[in-house]
Amino acid sequence: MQLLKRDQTGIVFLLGKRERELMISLLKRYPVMVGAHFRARHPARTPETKKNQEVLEEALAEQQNENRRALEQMLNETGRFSENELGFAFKLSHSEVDWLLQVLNDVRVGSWIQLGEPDTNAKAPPAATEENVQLAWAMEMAGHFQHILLEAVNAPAE
Amino acid sequence: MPSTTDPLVLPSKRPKEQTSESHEPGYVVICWDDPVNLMDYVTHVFQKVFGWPRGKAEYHMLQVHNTGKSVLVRESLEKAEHYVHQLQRYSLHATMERED
Repeated sequence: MQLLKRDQTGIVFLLGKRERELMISLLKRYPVMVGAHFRARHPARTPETKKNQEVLEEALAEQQNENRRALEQMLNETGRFSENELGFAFKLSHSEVDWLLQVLNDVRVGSWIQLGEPDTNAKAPPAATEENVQLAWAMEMAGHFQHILLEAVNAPAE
Repeated sequence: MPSTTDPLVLPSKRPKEQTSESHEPGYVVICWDDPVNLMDYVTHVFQKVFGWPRGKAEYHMLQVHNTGKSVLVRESLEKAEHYVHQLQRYSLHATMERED
């Protein structure tokens, strides 16, 4: 995936055929993140905090449902990926880029949590099971696409 | 229809959302380190959520990265809840605490 054009209306990326398939299969994993992760890390000390956490978890779940619907719509939209001789031009508005970064980070962080949070000192490396390989793949691919999106966000406009 | 012996319940003059406590700064929003988050991503999120310039967003991102957490803002209860919600939408690990 590479940046083709960035202007006031949005950003256009070039995706190879295989890359497009990878992105679609990655996005189909969404949502992966579970709101209770935050609760487990910082258990509520007061009833007020507990209630706040529950409200936040409900809001996150609602948000994920909305994103899931928007994602399906985007992936099925005519003209979203327009084929050319080099691959596919993938067009996104600036707000869609920000939204896609959110979606990809959900997949990345959620996969990392399911893997047992590797790279933190206290955790043992994950076992090499088929499921874990899939999770590691999703985590790395999400990071790869995020990196390209962020570079494009910070690139000077034409 | 209520009988005349039913207690009269008057509406609260100041609903919970309108209390002075909920509008006064007194809560801190903290972002915690999750090593899986890309540094540029965290900077991007801080810029988006708080409208900060890149330099300030990078300063807080590095604080999270180097020390494990950063106090991002001191706000009222309502605004602190709003910011925590926004940060969690981006899958960043954020909490709020009452400031001592």
